[in-house]
Amino acid sequence: MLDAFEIVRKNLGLLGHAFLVTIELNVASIALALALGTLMGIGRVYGGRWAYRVLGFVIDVVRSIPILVIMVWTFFGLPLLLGLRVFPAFLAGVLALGLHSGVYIAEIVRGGLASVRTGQMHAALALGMSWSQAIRRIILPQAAIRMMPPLSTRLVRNIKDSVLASTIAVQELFWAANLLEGETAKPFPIYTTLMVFYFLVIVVIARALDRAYLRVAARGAA
Amino acid sequence: MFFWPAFWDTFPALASGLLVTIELTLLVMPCALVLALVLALTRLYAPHPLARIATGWVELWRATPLLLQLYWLYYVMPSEFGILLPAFTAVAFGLICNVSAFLSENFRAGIASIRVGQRHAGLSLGMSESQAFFRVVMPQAWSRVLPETASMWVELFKETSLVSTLAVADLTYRALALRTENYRTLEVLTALALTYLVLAYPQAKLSDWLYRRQRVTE
Repeated sequence: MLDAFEIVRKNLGLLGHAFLVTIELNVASIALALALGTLMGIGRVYGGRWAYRVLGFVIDVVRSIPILVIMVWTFFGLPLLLGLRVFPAFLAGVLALGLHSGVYIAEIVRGGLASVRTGQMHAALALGMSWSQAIRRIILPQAAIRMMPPLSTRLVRNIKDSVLASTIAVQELFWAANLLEGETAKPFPIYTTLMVFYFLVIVVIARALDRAYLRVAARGAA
Repeated sequence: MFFWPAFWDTFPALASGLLVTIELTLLVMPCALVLALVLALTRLYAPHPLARIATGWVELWRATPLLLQLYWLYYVMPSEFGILLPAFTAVAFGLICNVSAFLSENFRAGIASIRVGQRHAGLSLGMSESQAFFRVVMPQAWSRVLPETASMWVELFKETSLVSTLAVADLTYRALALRTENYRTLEVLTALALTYLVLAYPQAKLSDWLYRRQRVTE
């Protein structure tokens, strides 16, 4: 049975390269999602009634569409809408994952910001801070700690969703596995290795994030 | 540039796929609820080795990508174990295992959050263990896990779209097939996204409403 895994060992180069693409895809999309989510979350809490409603609607719309459909639409549909001839699959993957995770993060940020008592904002303003200083220095640091557990969940989810980029031919790990399976017709060693690999990566990341949270949790207590 | 007739014509073409999507959701959810309850109870009350195995099983399904799980079931089961599964059965089985793993974690937390005194009170009134669980603990736990379960339902509805990659003719599959027939990519894919939106949006709102209504304040 172990001989079967020879096929994986022989192709470690291909898989390793594809894993790098998976890392790039996740780093880029998570960065985009964090930026987007933070802006939208702040907009919902401090932007007034209309920003609250409009952003809320945008968030609900994106939440209601499967990530696979968002991804396929972004890759095939968006360039047609924009009149672009060339649209890199990697870029489409980053945009789709970033938008999808971003709206979930927006809700996490909103909840985190809303959990910081309004007295904190008043105190910062009374000390002469500007509004943006108060958010950056007083509100966000406290909210950030409370946001960590749901953010970790989202981050892990982003890693799992990133395999869907294989459907728009982003040459990430699952895409490489499918390529290898197509060439060799040996699904067992290939998909099993991938399963174990994703399991280990995700468990290690999830545990590390848990630990990091426990270390700072006390400072985020209300 | 956006060809409206092609857009409108997409919806009837998706109807048969929509039925498969709904069928899959309606089939998977009840099975997953039962399996999740069994898993949660095993983890909470079963003897040590059994509880450990259940935990490992849940972690396995939670910590790997769903698409990979579906591929594994569909391709490896026949090639390695000689179990030839029709695509629909394979993906339904995969979705049940995946969804039940997430639900069981939620159930476990919900059941554990009901104070042990409730069970004791039930027992002291002369109830049996199972009576105390099903009549006293479970109803209270259920109202706590309901919102999460509702949002899992919405998740499941969306995640059935992954079965299109294994040629199960669901909503997404029909749209992608239609796209290769008429090359009206933007119209077809937009209609697809809109179909999911119209169907999932009320469900998501309902689950939000449950969250607000069931918020625990102790």
